[in-house]
Amino acid sequence: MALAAVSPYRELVQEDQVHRRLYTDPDIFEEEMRCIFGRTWVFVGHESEVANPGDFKTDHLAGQPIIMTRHTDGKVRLFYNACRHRGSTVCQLPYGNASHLSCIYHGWTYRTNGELSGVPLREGFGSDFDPADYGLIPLPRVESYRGFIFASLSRDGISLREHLGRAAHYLDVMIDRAPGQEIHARKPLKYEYDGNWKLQLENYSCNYHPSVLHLSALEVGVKMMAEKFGGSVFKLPTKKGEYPLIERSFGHGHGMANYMGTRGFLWRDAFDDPDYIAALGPRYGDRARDVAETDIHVMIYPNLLLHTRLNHYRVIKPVAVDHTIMNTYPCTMKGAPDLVNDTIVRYTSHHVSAGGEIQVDDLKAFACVQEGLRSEGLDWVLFKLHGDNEHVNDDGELESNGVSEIAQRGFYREWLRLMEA
Amino acid sequence: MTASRDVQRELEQFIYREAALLDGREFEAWLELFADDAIYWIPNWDANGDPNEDGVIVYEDRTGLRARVARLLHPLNPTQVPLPRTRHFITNVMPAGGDNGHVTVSSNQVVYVSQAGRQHQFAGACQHVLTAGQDGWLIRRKQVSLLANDAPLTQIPVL
Repeated sequence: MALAAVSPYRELVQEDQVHRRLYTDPDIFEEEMRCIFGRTWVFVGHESEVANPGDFKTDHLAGQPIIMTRHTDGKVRLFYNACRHRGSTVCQLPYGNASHLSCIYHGWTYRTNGELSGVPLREGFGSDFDPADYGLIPLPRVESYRGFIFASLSRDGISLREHLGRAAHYLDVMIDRAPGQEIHARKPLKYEYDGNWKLQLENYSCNYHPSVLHLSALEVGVKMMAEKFGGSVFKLPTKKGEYPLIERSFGHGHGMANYMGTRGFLWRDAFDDPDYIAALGPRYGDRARDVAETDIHVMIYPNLLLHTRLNHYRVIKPVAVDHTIMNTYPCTMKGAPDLVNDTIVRYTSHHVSAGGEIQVDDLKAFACVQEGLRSEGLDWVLFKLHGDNEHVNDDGELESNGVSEIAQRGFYREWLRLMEA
Repeated sequence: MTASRDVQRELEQFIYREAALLDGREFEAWLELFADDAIYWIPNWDANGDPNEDGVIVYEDRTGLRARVARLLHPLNPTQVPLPRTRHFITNVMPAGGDNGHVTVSSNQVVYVSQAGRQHQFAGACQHVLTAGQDGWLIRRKQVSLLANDAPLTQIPVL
């Protein structure tokens, strides 16, 4: 690139605007896979997806096939899903349970701890062939935070805990909303869109769009709620300051936004369930109801999005500069009443699925943005919106009130840091 | 169950008519085909995935369907610009049993949707549970099990 002097990216990312090439340039996408998804801590799965010994799950990280297993020793491990002989994937199922994984091609067989346990015609590989040298290749670094498993494809770097920083608190918020302080990830809802992966990240932290993009869903939802429950149960905020929004940005690109929309889409709000609130009582006392009603979006850079009311997480999977897959995992809560857990699964589906009523609007917007950004006449994508009272709070987070683009600005500070590292 | 030729034809015609209403965007007339206690269900992940365990791609009672129709016809629904065009193709219609005024009909279907110069298709197996209403059959339950229920999907139209 022409701007080789310091970093080709410095001129593309400014404090409150980024260049459209970040969304459209395939070379930048390849560099993101190397410098971001191929280096920093990336969320790869939840322990509950492989709850029992022998359970496995296959997935992709930075475009590379991976497999997560739970061995008979109870430990969760992550490997590249590639046979050491000729490179075939050793497992093609999305989920399953097995004592061994056998390559379909020539039958090389591995235990769920990665050890190579069987090689047909082994003597033909010579007397110095040692199967111990040919186990499945583990991902360079894997660490877990309370069941949330992250991997880094870089051998060196800061610890997961250091990377998460303040984001660990928000994982606690999500996990500890479960009376039993454990969550269980259900099967994913999957959608894809013709747009760059960063569009989903930006959208998830955006309180600016719902009352415009989702207007039809909100109007219909509010009407149906009123019909079912009588009266007006949810009113769209229309004036500045009418809803106490808080948005935050903190270390390593993570962010948080409390949310105004969710209740408008719920035709029954099961989180008011007295049994659920009572179950939270021993730990939270007077705060139990507030905890039950916590309604925040959390963005853990670069690929994990938490939703603490519909209680799910979403995983961003970049495929190409203009193509992204999203997997959403509803998370039921240990110790919560069935009604609450059923509501989590059902309303996450209603909200997020490809046949749902909310996320489909966003997918449309992503495709429109991606198309619009083909315009060479337009250089900059703006993140200039500020809320009120921007300040560093007692937890060291950059915080503002009201609708803002504070979290998005944080993403791009981290983007630049990683791309220049 | 082997249906008489007349019953077979009647059930086929009912299902074709339902599809024609959807393809004609006559959503309010389509809604009238559903009984008050109707369920419309597109399972997630598995052809018969448990809605509370595996999530759902769609699961609506009649109120939910009414909301869905209201949104489809809402002038500010961004997903309906430009209007998507759909065409249902239905085959292998087989009555699969029935009692007490109910009949279960299985069929295969492919739905093509074209919007903004792109075409997508959604193949699956349908099961209709029909109940005898005053003016003919009503849908008590419609289940559409997509072949690609575990794959990333683009927005699906009403199937």
